[in-house]
Amino acid sequence: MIALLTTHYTLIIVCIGTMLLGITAGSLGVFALLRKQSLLGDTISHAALPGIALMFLATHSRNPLILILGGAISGCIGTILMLIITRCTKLKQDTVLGIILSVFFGFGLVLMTIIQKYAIPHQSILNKFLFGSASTLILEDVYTMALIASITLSCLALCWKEFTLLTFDRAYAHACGYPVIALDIMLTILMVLAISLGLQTVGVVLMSAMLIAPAAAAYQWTTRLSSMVILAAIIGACSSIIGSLISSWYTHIPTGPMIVVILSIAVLISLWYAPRHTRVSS
Amino acid sequence: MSSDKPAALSISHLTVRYQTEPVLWNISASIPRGTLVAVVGPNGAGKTTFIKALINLIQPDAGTVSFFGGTYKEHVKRIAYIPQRLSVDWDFPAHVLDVVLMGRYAHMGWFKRPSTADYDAAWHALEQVQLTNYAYRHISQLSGGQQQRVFLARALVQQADIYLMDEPFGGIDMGTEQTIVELLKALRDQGKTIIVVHHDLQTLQDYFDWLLLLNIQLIACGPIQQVLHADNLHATYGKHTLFTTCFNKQRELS
Repeated sequence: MIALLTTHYTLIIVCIGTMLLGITAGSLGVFALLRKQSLLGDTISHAALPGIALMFLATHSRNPLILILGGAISGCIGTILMLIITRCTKLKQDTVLGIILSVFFGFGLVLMTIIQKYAIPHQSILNKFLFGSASTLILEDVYTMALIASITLSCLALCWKEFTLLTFDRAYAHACGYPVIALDIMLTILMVLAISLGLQTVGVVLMSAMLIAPAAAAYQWTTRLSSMVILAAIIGACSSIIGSLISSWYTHIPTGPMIVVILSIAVLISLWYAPRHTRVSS
Repeated sequence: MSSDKPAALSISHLTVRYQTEPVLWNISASIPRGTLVAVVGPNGAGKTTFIKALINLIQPDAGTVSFFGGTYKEHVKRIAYIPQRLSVDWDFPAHVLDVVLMGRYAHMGWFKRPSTADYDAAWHALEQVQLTNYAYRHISQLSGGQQQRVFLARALVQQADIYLMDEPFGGIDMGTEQTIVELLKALRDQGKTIIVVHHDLQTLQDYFDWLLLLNIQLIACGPIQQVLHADNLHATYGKHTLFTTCFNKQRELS
């Protein structure tokens, strides 16, 4: 057993890290899907790129945690901008999400090209944030991921019934006296946290699949929110572990795309075989 | 319009606009406790807006609303809101019992889980709306009438004193309509106040004892025998003479 632990040390670290990501993103993704905010996750994760690049420019740090902090901040800025533009103009939310997503991501890519031109040391770390690289995970990263995951999941468990009510019937929640806007913000912050977990492992481009795909698969099999969240967490965890393992064995395959391929298989199987699929097609 | 009962709801100069267009204009009315009230008016008269403005779901541009002499916030636990059935996604993963339990959430307080008493209340409400056999069904398997009864059960467990219902009879069968009406009358007899957005002028007299006629402005508000007459209906529905002639014929017959 100990021999196994020492020989596969890196692999075990990778598995634990991606499992944490899968559980957190899967659970939060259920709420994003049911609130019809699937695109929001995509926008937040793409909007993280310029934050990561700017943080790198400012600190020249190769510590992923610092870069992810930058990503989370710019993801939040993107979300706030989206809310302001939706409020103040006649544009619909999906249009604004599309704009924020591409503008922030484009800006991020420009920054990355500039960084490459000036050949700043350790700049290669930035490429990992595009499509993710689970094999770069070290023990400290996993500690941080465990901390963020436990904060996110405890908040979700604590405010479970409030979030349920908000998601099912927002007007009713308001009429019951709940501060719906504060709950909206809380749930979005939890989503940003879940996304920041995956920036290093899955990357900004495909992170939204980690949120939505497990939820979409679990939606087909379940008729209660609690079972949907648990199943989405399991699907997210298993797909992440399988995907990262495959990408660890074949070093030239980035982790993000591999996990997404596994997730898509889970979604396809669910759409095809799940009892609920008849209702979806009708 | 006067009544010896103290007012459950009093509204003064309530005005709501979307951009520059007024949707509700200078509504002042008072509704006594223990009445079953119909809010009636043509499409676009602002009936839904009226209900929503009462509980701040839509911010009024002017005017005040008071429940039992206090603000909505002070009495939020005494008010049960029943939104339009189609305002939620019935594919949401929840069983019938889960939805009914939502009515207890505000009473439980933050972070708490439902207790046995909460479950008992939910079961009792399901009995009242005759849906106990459906408690563990997924909500997407319900018919429109059953969905409406689930919403009513959710409001019943709130044990509120005033019920605001937005079109509870839209697209449901006669049987369900009767069940709901009987329940509402029983609630009224317990001294609760029920305000219902309603469409069918034929059933007004059978179901309700108070009438609020609305067409952006308030046309009339009072006991149904005093308020329900051709002039008021004409003022509410304009040239929709079909309504008024039908109504007059009905009067003659009775």
